Amino acid sequence: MENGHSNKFLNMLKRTGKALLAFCKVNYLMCGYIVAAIIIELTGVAVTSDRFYMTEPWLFLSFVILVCLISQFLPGHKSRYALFMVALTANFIFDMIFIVVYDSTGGTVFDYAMINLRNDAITILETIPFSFTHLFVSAVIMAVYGTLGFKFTKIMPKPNVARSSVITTAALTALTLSTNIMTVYISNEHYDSNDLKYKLYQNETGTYSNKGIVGNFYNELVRGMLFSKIDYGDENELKSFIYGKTTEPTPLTGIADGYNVVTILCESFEWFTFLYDEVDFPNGFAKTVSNGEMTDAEVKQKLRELYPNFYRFYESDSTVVLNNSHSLEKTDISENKSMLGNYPLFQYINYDYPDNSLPYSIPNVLKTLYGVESNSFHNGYKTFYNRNDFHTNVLGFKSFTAAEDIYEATQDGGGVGERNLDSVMFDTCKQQMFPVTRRFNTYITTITQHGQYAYRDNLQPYYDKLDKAGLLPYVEDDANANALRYYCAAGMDTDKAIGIMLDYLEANDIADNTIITLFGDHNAYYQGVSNYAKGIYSSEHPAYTDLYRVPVMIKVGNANLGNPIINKFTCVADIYPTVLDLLGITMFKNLNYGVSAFSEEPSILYSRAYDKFMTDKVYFNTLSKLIYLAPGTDEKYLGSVERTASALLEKISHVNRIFAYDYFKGNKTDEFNTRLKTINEPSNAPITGDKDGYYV
Amino acid sequence: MDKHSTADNSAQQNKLFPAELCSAASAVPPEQKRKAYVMLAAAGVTLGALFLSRLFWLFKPLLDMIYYGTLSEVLYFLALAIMFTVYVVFLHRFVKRHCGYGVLSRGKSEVGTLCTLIIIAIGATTFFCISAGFGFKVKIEVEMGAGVTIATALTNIAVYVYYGLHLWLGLIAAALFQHAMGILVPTPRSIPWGAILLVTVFGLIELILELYTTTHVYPLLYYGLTYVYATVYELSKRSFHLTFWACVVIMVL
Repeated sequence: MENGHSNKFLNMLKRTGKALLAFCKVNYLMCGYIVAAIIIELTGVAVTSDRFYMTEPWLFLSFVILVCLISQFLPGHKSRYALFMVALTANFIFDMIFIVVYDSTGGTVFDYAMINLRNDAITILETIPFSFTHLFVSAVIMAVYGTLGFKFTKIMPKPNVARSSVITTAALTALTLSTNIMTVYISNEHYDSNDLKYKLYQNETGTYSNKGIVGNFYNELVRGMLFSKIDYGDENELKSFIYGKTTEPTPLTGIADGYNVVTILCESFEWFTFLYDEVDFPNGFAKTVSNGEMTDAEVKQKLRELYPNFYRFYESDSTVVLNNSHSLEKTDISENKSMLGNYPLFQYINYDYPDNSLPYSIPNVLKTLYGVESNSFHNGYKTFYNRNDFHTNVLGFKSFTAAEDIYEATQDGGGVGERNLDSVMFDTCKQQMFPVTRRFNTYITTITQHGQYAYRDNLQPYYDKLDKAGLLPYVEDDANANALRYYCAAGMDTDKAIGIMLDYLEANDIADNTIITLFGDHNAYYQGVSNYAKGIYSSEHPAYTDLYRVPVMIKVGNANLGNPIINKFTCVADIYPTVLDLLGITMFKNLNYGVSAFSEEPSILYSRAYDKFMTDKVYFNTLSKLIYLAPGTDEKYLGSVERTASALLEKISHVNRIFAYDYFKGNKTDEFNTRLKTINEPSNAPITGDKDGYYV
Repeated sequence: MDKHSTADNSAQQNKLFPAELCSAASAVPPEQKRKAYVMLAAAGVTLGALFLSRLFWLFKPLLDMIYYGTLSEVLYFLALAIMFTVYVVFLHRFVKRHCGYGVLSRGKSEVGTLCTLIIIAIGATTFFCISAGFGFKVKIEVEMGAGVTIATALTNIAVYVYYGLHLWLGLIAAALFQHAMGILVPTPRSIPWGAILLVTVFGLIELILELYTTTHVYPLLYYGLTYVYATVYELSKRSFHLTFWACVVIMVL
């Protein structure tokens, strides 16, 4: 009896095996396609996130299944072969494009709003970083599949597309499509424009290891089109949120009252551009010492000679150094955050909101309160990031001067394929930048230190200076060392530009009443220069967040401040409230993502571009899976981070509404200006604190 | 000699020794010899046209009048592509009419699975080795270089098309040479005349011209690649189209 059962079972297994084999033979192209598509996609995931798996592969798999089901409607091997080859090629090209985007932007995962940046992306694409691993694996797989698949078309049994199977396939196709739609819905249904706290506890890790490259692309398209609607909600609630709180005074409030304002966004500016530090920047200038070629004192002396103006600024008695400031954004976002104090989620405001009214931008605030004229300068092209329109229409600058204007003024077309020189921009525009006859607010965005870091003719004098000093020599076959050399040489031109500015301000007696903020918009991510100089390559590093530590220095006229170093964690969003604080301007606090650097309140960085939260001790996309936690960080600290992040997300959800519905259009700008004037009337002026007691 | 023709006389040819080659060659009918000489001449003209086409670059000032800058290179390569295509079409018709050999016609023999896999393995190994030599950077990334604007990207792509065209004409010359020599020098085992032409005449002259008339950064690497092309040509049973496309992929990557 038992034998009979086992025989039956064995027979059944044999029959199943035979049927399966027959199925595989008829559908050998489909089986091969599934394997090939999964390997190509997983290789793409692996080269971008170091993981050879996806936690939510359902969207990608549903596409693979759909292709397979479509193939079942086709009558012969040749037509199926063509379908699968097209699908594989499309998969490969999608992956390749997004890997190039990921690698060339320091790790940006595609999001819907990036479509608006396509033209700018082409302009700054200075190299095409194809991934060897992805290209190699994909090329081999496609070559093997392409040739063997075609060869076997004559050998394998022909598919039989019976009517009954067509009906079954159609039903399965409908089922897969439904599953696909359900999956993308479930993936996005937690979206709530009024409560973004879900972001703190989401499964997304901000990499391609969740949905894969194809899955993420599709999900982002759907999310961008269907799940990004912002609910205007209760207008009164929004109004009371905006005007509910005002900024509190700090020990340095109003110390620069009535001053001119100069804010300089230094492209890719890093401390290691001009500083020696064997611990923080082991592969920077310290390498000359570790190689035994010079003593640290000699290197430091040479750096003072090579970067005299950075040191003049950095060590000035009037300069406040924010030594623990971090940035993880793209230039346009850092730029806007430093002028607005906030930035909405999901959009790129230069393109998505080119006509909005933003009366709280620094240029608009200074115009409203003091009638100050603001002007913006950048030695990149006019249309880049739509600055030409956005700076004048929205941010409140009277003019925007760009590379084209500078070329016209200097009769110089600029080096072909080379970044312009900051020193040329400062020298050409100094009279417009720093007018002597009136109070001014000037915003300058530099470009010389922009990647790629390769040899440039116009930087040759600086290479010569480095060589003469014996620092950062050209090293044959060491791309990292050479990229750092080119980067630091570019920094010498920015140093020259700062010198031109300081000399001009001093020569015209306006240095005393000018507040100058110099900050790095993001680290030097091109070619991994930051990783190399700092020796930080993964979140396993005990000081991982130092990778994003960038300079912020504020020179307050010629005030006698004693060159204080602020070691409190700050970020680019803190620049706006800090500058207003120093100018003695009270602002509506809920519009600020950051806090004044002189306040004791904690700050947290949320990166719009990379969808990450960060302080100096923690780095995460979701609290349920921290990417980095500094050694010795306790639960209490994490609790405070959670509270600060929640409060920030609440502000973001309100700022989303302000932008999406252009809240300040028409009369609401007048209302804002009236309220702003009211809270800044002398009778309501904050009590200036004791400048000796600020938070260090 | 091609496999088809050897098959007809295999028994007879197996008895052939090198000393008897002359008599075997003299036994080739005059009509066949005439066709072979025409094909040899066609191969020579093709290579000559290929190398002389570099003189076309002397017209650069003229092209600059149409569009000054890097895009004039694109115009040059475009003009060259049109000239080469017209020439190849003419050559194909001429050789087919006078010699009965369609240089661009699809071969009848099929490449075996093992050979196909070996060709893929050779391509992959070449890709791997070259990338490893560049520190695991893909050759195309290195060649594209830094400062890639749309104009430079277009120019770089045009340069790949240019080398693709050279390979096309080089392979045509190799195929004609192989066929002609196969007729003129009948041997028991087929001699890879085409492959020899590729690495010697085509490859070496290209190398010398690249070295002395252009600013090409990797002329030796490209010469090294001609050995790979020759191997692929042999492994693919001298299939023109398979060799060409496989070699284009190898060259680009």
